[in-house]
Amino acid sequence: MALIAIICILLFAAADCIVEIPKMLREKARRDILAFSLLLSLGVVLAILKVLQFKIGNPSDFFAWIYSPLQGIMEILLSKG
Amino acid sequence: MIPSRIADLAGPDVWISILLGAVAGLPVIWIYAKLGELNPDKTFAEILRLYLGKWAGGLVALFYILSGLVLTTQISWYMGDFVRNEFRSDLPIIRINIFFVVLLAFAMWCGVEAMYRATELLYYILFSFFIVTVLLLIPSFKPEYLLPIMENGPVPVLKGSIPFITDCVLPLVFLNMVYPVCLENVQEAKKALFKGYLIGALTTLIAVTTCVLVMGSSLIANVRSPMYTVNKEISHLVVFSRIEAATVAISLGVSFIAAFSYAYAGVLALAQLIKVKNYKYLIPPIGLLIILYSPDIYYNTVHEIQWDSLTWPPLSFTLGFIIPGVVLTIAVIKKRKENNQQSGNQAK
Repeated sequence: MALIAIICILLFAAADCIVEIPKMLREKARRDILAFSLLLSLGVVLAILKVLQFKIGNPSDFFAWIYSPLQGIMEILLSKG
Repeated sequence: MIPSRIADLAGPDVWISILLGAVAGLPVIWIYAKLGELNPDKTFAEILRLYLGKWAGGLVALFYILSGLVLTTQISWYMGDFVRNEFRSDLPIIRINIFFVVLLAFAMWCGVEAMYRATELLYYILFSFFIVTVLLLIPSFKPEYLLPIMENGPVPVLKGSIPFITDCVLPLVFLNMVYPVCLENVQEAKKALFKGYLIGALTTLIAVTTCVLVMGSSLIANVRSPMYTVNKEISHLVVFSRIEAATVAISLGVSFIAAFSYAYAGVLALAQLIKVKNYKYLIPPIGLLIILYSPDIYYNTVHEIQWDSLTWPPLSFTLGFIIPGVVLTIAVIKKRKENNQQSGNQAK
């Protein structure tokens, strides 16, 4: 099951590259290619890690950490009565 | 979810809470309108970099990008969770989310104009569904559910307007990526912004009041999707029963439009930050990331309720009011300085 998922992810990434990189090369958009490959590799790596059930970070935890000092105030504000 | 949170805090006075929230939201919309008027050819990300400087503006823009994409992921989670809870509970949530995100990616690929024209069409259909369901619920209205007006004083009413402001008003900041740039006539754009806001507030008012009138605020406060539950009460003739499917359609359509707005804001802002030529190349990787994070962005329903009530209000307040307010102040001061300099030069 995990292997099938990993193969699917790699197939998707490969298909994506095949479709998009020629277009970007034609327009000679170097920044595009750089950003695209960075984001795609980040996505593939994180996806594979997730399939293998490693813990990857969660953005909502990041926001909760940023606003953790305000939690007390919010609880008071949103308490009933 | 919004009606249940407002009903929980405000009791039977939900309609006063929403009216108050709508009025309190007018200055917020005014800030966005004014910012757009001062910079009619820039998106919000460019405005941020213009007024806050390259590095600080870039950091703040990154914050907006992350928030926009997180909001998109949250909406996919809501969809998957809703389908799991109400229909089939054995599908892994990621497969439902994949449908949603793939459709979203396709919409972004087609571009803004195509999506917003589709939104117009969807709006007519969904709004008529909405009106029909509300009209069909009128026989089940029990006005005594609204009755003890301000029983506990004004404080619960004020507390009840907080979910409305944080969920229905402040996220409109993400429309600033679209608002000044894509529209030709700035004055008409301003009017459209206000009109849209008021119509949205009115719709929320009608929806929440209908829920409370049919089932009472204490029941609504404990129900996950009140409109869906309330619409199960419709069963007049054989034809008009099981109309809750219309509510599902409405919530699906509205969530899609909202998710598109957030995702488009996030992707376009990222594209402008990195100075990429065409934002469409960034869509598949970001779509992959959204699908990846969507089952776990909220660990479970308890975490969702907790995050939405405790972390989202300060976050939305920062994103939607504080930062735009600061940027507007800087913009106005700069404009005054420019005007003074110009009149100084003319005087010379």
